[in-house]
Amino acid sequence: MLRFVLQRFAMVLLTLFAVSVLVFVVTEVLPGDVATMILGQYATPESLAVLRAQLDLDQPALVRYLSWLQGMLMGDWGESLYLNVPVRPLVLQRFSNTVLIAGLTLLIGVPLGILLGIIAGLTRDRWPDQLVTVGTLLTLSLPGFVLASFLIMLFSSWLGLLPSSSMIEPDISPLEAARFLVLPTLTLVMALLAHIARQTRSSIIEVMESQYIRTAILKGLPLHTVVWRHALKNAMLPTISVIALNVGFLMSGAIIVENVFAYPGLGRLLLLAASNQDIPLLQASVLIVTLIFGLANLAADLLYYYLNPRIRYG
Amino acid sequence: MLQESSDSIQETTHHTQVPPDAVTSRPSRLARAGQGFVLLYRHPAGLAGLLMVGLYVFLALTGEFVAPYAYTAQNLQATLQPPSAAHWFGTDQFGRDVFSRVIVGSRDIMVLAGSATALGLLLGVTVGLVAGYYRGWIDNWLMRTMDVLLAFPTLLLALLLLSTLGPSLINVILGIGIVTMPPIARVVRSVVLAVRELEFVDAARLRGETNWYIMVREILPNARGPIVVEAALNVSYAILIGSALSFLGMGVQPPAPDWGLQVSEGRNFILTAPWVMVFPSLAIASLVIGVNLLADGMSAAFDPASTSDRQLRSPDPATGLLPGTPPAHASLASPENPVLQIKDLQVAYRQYGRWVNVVHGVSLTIRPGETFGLVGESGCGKSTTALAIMNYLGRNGRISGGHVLVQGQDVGTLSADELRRLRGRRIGMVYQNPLAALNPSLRIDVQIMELVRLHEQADEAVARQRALAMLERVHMPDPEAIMRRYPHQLSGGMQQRVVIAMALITNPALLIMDEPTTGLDATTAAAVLDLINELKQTFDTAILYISHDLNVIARVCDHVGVMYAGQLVESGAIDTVFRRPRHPYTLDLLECVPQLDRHYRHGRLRTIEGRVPLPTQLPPGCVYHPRCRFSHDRCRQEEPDLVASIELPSHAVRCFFAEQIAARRSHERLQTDQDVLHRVDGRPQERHMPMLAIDTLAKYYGTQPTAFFGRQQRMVRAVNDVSLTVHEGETVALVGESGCGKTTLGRCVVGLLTPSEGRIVFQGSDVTLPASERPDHVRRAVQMVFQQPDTTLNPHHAIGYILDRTLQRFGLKNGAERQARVSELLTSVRLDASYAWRYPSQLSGGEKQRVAIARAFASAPDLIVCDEAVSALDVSVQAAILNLLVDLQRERNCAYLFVSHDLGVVRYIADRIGVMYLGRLVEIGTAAQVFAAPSHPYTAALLSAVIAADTSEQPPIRLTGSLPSPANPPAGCPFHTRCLYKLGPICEEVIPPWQDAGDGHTIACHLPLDELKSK
Repeated sequence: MLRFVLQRFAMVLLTLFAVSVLVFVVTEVLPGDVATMILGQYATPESLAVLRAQLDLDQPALVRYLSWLQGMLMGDWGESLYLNVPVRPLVLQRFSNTVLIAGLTLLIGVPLGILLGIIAGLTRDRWPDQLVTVGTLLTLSLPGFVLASFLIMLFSSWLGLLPSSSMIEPDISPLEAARFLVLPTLTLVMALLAHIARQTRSSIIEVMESQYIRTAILKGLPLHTVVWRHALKNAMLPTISVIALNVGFLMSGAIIVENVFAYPGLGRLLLLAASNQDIPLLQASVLIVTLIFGLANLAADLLYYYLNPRIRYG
Repeated sequence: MLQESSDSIQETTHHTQVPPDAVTSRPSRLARAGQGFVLLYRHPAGLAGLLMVGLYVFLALTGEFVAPYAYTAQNLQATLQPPSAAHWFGTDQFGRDVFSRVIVGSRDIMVLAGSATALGLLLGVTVGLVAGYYRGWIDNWLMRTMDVLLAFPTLLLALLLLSTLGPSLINVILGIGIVTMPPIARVVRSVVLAVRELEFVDAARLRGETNWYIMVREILPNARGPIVVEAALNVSYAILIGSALSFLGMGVQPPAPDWGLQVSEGRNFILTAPWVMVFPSLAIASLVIGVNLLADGMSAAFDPASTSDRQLRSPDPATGLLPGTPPAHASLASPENPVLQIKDLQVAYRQYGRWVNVVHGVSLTIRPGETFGLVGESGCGKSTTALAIMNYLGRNGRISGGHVLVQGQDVGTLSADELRRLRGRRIGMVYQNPLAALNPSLRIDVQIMELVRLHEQADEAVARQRALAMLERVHMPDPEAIMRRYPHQLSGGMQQRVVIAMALITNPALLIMDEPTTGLDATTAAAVLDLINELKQTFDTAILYISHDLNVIARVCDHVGVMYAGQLVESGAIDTVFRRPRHPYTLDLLECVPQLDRHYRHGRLRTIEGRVPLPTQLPPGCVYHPRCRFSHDRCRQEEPDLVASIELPSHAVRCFFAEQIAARRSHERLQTDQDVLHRVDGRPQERHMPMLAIDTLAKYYGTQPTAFFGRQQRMVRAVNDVSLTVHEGETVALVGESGCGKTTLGRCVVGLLTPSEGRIVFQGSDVTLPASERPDHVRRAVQMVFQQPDTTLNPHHAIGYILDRTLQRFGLKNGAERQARVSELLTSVRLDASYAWRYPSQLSGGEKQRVAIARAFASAPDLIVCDEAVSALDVSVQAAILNLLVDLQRERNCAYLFVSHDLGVVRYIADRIGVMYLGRLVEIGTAAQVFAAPSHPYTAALLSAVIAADTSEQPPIRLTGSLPSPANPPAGCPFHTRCLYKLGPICEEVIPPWQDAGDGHTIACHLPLDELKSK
């Protein structure tokens, strides 16, 4: 067990290391450099050279990478080129906002998605299944920004129930703040729900056709025991991977949703950094997202390991 | 034999339903593509998707001509106009026509999605193919790189790439191509990993194909289905990401009529002019829905398991003719209350909305303590009958007539609750594949105890007691420990004991056993059969025992019913049916099984021409008449009833000529005549130089780490210190149970595996090389026939191509000559020359195996390794293939190294036999020598396992304990842990010497020959 955990954890670290190299290469080595970005296209060569020396840009790439990596590890994440503020507090504050809606989304979407998937799988080709199948297909076919826009049209413009943006003011009450969270979370939940329900449905169907389920039925067990004891644990295995994948989606799908709702989260920050080529901000945000994604995958692996005796006692 | 082939040409297949005359013309690629459309057509949602996507493709191609306005035409006088006759979708903030912009925008999105998907596909397929094919470090590095790319959420990675590259259409395509590559690479790799192990790939290696050819021509076509499905999904993904990037301002830039951009711009007028945003939104959504529906439809079309095609493959075909009349013996039931009474049972399955009868008019009765065997070839309706007893026929099956009475209760009329109380409590069931029948994620104790808790409302402690006691009764060693295990931690024999314990723990009145020993090794199966016989004595259970194996039926059953094409054709007491069969099918079945007293020099095996008819193609009259050697005109016109025999009322037969057949001769099959074993000797050992000499060969697995952090695998000694010779024109068989190394040895000989130690000398030269490095003349001379008919031929290649390619590889350049040779080869394996145009899916298992044999003989080899070449076939087909192999050997003087687990088959075909156990040879001799004393204790146990206890004078030899792991084989004699005659420490420490028993018969054992003789 310990060996497995350590192995997977080492794998996550190794991947993160590779990710850091990739991020560094993409942002700093490819054409376009920070000095030009700061001073603009019409800067004189002399002033560029001075700035490059200041920023250590004249050093070899490897040296720069190592000092950058050291800075990331030591908590010195640099200063935003665009916003002119230290990166770390900004990223961490926005990150906590993203965690708030991502967490809410998982809390609501995962159990609901699994439940819908089970219902659909057990009522295969009958109306509840068809409802879920068609509904999730529609949801998955709508891009996040379209879904979000439609929700705004419905709840803000027409019904006037909920605010269309999420500019959380520092002095509003928690209840008022909660109203701002409804639409972004609802958008994310719908997409997450669809993914999870579809995966759960297809694995329930597959498991229910397996020979061991035939055994369970021919033992005379009632349906709820067959499903709860015999089918669910096996059917959940592929769903776990889908949930982990969706943690990544919540981090990046949030880019769209946060922008539509002007929600002050990491996704919005990412777009800001990307569109203004704010390299330090971009590097830090990307690393945070991949770290969370990596940890989610690790958690999924461990859960998979725990639930699957064929691996546990392989 | 020729008759047989022309008969089978008449057969059509499950998948294609080609009319009989169509086989002479070549089925075009178009026709095969057409099948895909037919499958799509059966999936209406997929068809709707195709139409929607088709519409957008049309608009993309003709956009500028269809659009009423130029997409750039501004009209600042008419901004933000609502939809009207002039502007169907209204106008935007610059007064541009939204309808025109949506139509023209479809071209941009198509170009974007199409190019990005193509790029991702190209990259992903290449990476997956190379990684899966070459494995090792290339695989490691490529897949780790994919892992790194997958460590980014896709949109984030695309954003990262675009922020550096700068937003433009080309860069968006590049970005999406890169982010969609890893999933495709993974899918392709996993398909390649599976396909590269298939037998047709081995066959390509054996004819010396290049890696490039194997990857592109043999493997890639088999990944087509998953690739197409993945590509379709990627198109919708590319549309979603592409428009999201535009929306975020990181993709295509204005004033392009991009849908994502239009939505983004339209959001500013969401209150005043929603149409600016709504219509492009709907365009994106409908295109993605269309693509997704199409992808769904295609995955259904490419995955036969998920379509309505499934019913076609359902295990039991037969058709709906008129129900048979109730058999005579039903009325002769004895007064004792039967446990099971089946009266004129009809079972139907739904195929394409039509109900087709697959079991018709089966009637049988089983009383307490009786064991009734149901026997027949695959597809005869045996298992369907068993499931009908439980009234468990799935969504597509139903009891369409007759009655099943269990203790007088008609299962067809029971409610769901009543049915539950019947299942598990009054009827127990044992399945063919115990590992699949047990839940992989539940401990054994849970799975056994739940029955007691449910049906007897017992508490936990009582249930545990009962489970332990039951495990003891099925002779499970250390039940306490077993209870805590998971199914995969038990050996096959132990798994089956668990299933039997589960079936019996509620003390059911009826036990149904469906091929319970078929998946097990001979010695394990023997022990399970002993157990069943023992339990029959102690439990007063009625047993319905289903098997295709006549010997097994003979060993456990009192009564037997022979099934053919959904009908019971003969039934009665086991002795009378097997000793004096009255139905031609029973007679044929009995005669086509190779017995332990038969050698090919005794004569050919009986074969049954043709095959079991399909459900929809049952012949008129007697169902067996097309294959029957006694058929008359009457059989073709009239359907016989199951009629009780005059002299023996309990014996019923469905044949007009039963009495004549019974009178023909008395039939004594199930005796093993030891004299015959002595009388018939194999070919005398030739003393000149052997053609093939295997010298102290060893093959170890798992000496290399598998991946980063992959744990060092323990070394498995699959073959250890084996020396063996094969002479010209001789058949040497390797026999042993699974895991004994016989297949590994065979694969070393042909060069599919490279030995770790030792040498292989062929015709005087050292050929200890992989097939790809062997000289052409050696590769030509050593060929192979594989086990699985379904994977031995590449499903994407026509039979003619497969043979032609082989001939070409071995130097036949002239095309016309090759064509003539292909026909000649097909004729030599008794197939019609028109088979060259067929594809493997249109052939039966036996026909595929014939083609595989033709392929092996194409290069005029001197030695063919036959790896379990007849194991996957029904007995009648098996007999025909064995006859064919014998004939071809006589004609062409080719030697066989024949690997098999089946002693009867080995006895029939082999001149000499090598017995293997745990990677080592333990005995070598002529067939007659090995099958008689003196023999190695393991050989004796193996023989004893397949001989019915009551026909042998000696008490049966049963092995205890399970097979040691080849990763950790016992020191000394590998068999000492299970040997009944172990001498002492010498067996545990010293590898036994080869003792010469005379005439080339040698035995590796410490026991003196005299003692071995007296065992």
